[in-house]
Amino acid sequence: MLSLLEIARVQLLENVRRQVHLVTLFMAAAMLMLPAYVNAFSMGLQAFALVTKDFGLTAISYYGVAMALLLGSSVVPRDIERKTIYPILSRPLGRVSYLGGQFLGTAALITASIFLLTLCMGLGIASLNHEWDSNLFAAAWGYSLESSLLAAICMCFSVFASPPLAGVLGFFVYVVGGMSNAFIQFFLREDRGANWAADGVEMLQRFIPNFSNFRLKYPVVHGFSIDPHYHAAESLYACLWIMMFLLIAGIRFEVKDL
Amino acid sequence: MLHNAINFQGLKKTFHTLRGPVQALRGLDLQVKPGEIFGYIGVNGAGKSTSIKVLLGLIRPSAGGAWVFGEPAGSLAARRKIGYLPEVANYHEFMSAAELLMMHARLAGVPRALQAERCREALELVGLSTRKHSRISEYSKGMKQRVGVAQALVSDPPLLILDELTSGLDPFAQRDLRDIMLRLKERNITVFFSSHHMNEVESICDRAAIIHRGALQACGTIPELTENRERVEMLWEAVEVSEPVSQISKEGEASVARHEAHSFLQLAMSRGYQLKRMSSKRTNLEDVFHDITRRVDREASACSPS
Repeated sequence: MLSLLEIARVQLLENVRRQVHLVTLFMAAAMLMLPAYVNAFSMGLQAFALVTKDFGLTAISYYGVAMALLLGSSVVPRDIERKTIYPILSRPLGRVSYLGGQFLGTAALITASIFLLTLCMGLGIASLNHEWDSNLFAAAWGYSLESSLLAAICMCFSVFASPPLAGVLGFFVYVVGGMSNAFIQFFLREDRGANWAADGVEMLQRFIPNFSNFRLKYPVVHGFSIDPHYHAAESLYACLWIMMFLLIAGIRFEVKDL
Repeated sequence: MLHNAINFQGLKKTFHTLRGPVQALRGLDLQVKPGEIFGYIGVNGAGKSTSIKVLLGLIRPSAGGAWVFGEPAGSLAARRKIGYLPEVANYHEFMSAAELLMMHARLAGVPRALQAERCREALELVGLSTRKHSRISEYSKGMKQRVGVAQALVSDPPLLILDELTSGLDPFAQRDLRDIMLRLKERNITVFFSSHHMNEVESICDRAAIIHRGALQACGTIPELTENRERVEMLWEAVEVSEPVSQISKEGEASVARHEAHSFLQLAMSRGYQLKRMSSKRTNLEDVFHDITRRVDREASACSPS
């Protein structure tokens, strides 16, 4: 367990230094300025906070997904390619612990970044609205779980395939797993008449996580209260899927020649 | 019962590639005794790194087995007894040497109370105490190799595996690392190191093994490997040749193994040659290595279907 946490700590420090996090800084600045920008077009209407939250949370969600795809699919292959993995795995440390540590480090970074961006957006809104909306963090927690799960999926695929392919497969699972019933019924079946596609998506959805469980943007934007039990349930749901994907990755990684 | 530090028995490894199976190891048998400095010599692709990776559990053998102090290679118990420096040692460059060593001490399960002391000792041994807080990215290649040796030593292992330790280093850095290895021998640490530098192996190793085409070709102390391979070079003058001797070229030169020299001399003189000059050439490890690898290559190409 201590080894796992040590790997996670190093992975977190390593990831923080990746140039991709310049995007995080840019996004943080954008989130701070977003409320003022939206307000400039609101023509005095008080709906600016609603629009800002909608815009901001969507951007944060996309950011989380992009980070999960990028980091999740590359952390393990990167260590193998740079050969930093050899001295680490020559230690008395299980490969599953190594994968778990890599995942924890990645998930911690993505979660911290999402909360940072949410905080920036919240501060931006509060500076204009003089009102603090702590519910934003409920949506942020959902996005963190979603991104962490996606990172675990990409990490699992990266043990079997190259990083680009792992990223593509991860994105495919994310898209299919996030399709709502309404989209399948009204768009695929009724509007497009693509019953075969709708059947295929519904069949696949039985075997992959349902990402729409983590999307709390609309209740948060419209100020509906969220049952605390829902957070516990979505967290448990994400943890179970993450453990399953890491287990599959671990089984394969255990016998992989490095 | 005293176990060998390393024991390879009939070790085979076949990689399955798109072009077909590639046999990296073809039944390797090798034993390394505790406390010795053991040189592991072979050309690129001979199977050195593959066999080392088997010891560390990074690769699984196709057949045969490997043991470290009696523990199955790759097991946690075996890995507790190994300190490893890979061929291309890349570390987290944002860390300092002290941070890297602390990380490895934690991963190796060194008790918390001993971690700082072990790191200090390892850095002192490799002569990096004064630069321990500098980032690894600021180090020269030689210093990085020394950090690599320190990280391998931080768990105080009885066996140190160094994969091409001095490759690509300047002569001063090579000498520094050789000195470090000799100091490790004084501490009774078994050092198993692969190298392309024959003079290095000759100068510091108790024993050495030559591996080629995935199998052990020769193993022993340096005198054992080089003795009976001394050659005698002769310059002849053909006075009245009754029947030519096949080993003598047109120019009248011949080079024969020392143990064959006497009978060859008698034969040549009986056929009418006159000896003009004779000298003995001492064979070093490099000559032995070349002789063995060329012979194995010749035999392999003779056996190949093409």
